[in-house]
Amino acid sequence: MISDKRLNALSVAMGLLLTAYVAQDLHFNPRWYGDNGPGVGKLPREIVAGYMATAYGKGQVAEAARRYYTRKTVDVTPDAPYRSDSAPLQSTVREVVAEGLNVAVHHCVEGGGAAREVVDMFRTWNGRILWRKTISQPVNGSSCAASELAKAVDLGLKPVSS
Amino acid sequence: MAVTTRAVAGTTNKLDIWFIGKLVLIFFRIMLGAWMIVSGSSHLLTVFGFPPIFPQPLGNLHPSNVMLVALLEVGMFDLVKTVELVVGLCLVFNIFVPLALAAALPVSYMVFHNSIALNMRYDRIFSTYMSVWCLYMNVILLLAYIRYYLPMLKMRAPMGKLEDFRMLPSIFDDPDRDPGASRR
Repeated sequence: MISDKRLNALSVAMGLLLTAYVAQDLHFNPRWYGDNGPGVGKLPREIVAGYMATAYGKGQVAEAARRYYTRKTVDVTPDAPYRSDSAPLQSTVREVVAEGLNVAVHHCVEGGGAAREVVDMFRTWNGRILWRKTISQPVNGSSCAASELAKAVDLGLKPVSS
Repeated sequence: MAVTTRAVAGTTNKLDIWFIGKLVLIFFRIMLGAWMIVSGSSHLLTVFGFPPIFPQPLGNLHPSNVMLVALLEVGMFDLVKTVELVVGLCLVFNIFVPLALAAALPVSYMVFHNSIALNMRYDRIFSTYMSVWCLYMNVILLLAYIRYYLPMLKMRAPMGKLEDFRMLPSIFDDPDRDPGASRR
């Protein structure tokens, strides 16, 4: 009826067609198709870094929310400092702890008033921020550089120099 | 090598239960291959600065998030996706299939484990999701090609000799031709 050689040629052709079908099926999946947000396809650390660059670095909190939040995003501490647009802020990142989709950033923020030590916690999802919480306290000193929390903590992220 | 595919390769198939079974196995081979080509190339496109075919899902539950993000951050995902792409091409083009199936098994199992255990979706075990069927198809195909694994499944296997490397060209032998012709 059909030789193995012919069957093999047909199977290769079918395989290529199936590949094209699988590619278009995954590409147009409604779970992600059409979302062109700047964090889509990025890792949680990159998403948070992008958000913070806009919210703190440019002082454009509303724009950062528009680009990185979803309609379901929960801000647990909406009254925390730095939740409204301002002049660009200076954010000195002290530590970043990331596990899975969760990212916690300890940074010191200067500009727009007294400097503050801030811990921002985020949960990301499909390239966007789904949940966030901010804990902050005034800097114990005149500036971020003079803060007691400016001392680096060894989290084992870099090789120990002997 | 003791295994020959000569009798198999020269067959003209007739419509019977064995041929239907063979068609099912061929479908498994090309379906698994197609899925792996897309999955592998989508990630590898981003490595070369192109947009992916689809953004890599990072799991629903925390253990799955942790595993996938860690694999991505330390660069192991590049290796996993390269294996997927190469294996997929081998399966679709029907070359080095036994080797490709053996290489695919750890990847298939991790996809299955991530989908079922790490995301606690045990109801999917009997579903038609590719994330579980990739393992089922992989195992079924391994059994279909078991004749190629038998030589390495020997309990008592004496070490080979340097001359064995001379047999390497035989991996390209045409199954329709006399096996080992390339060595003569």
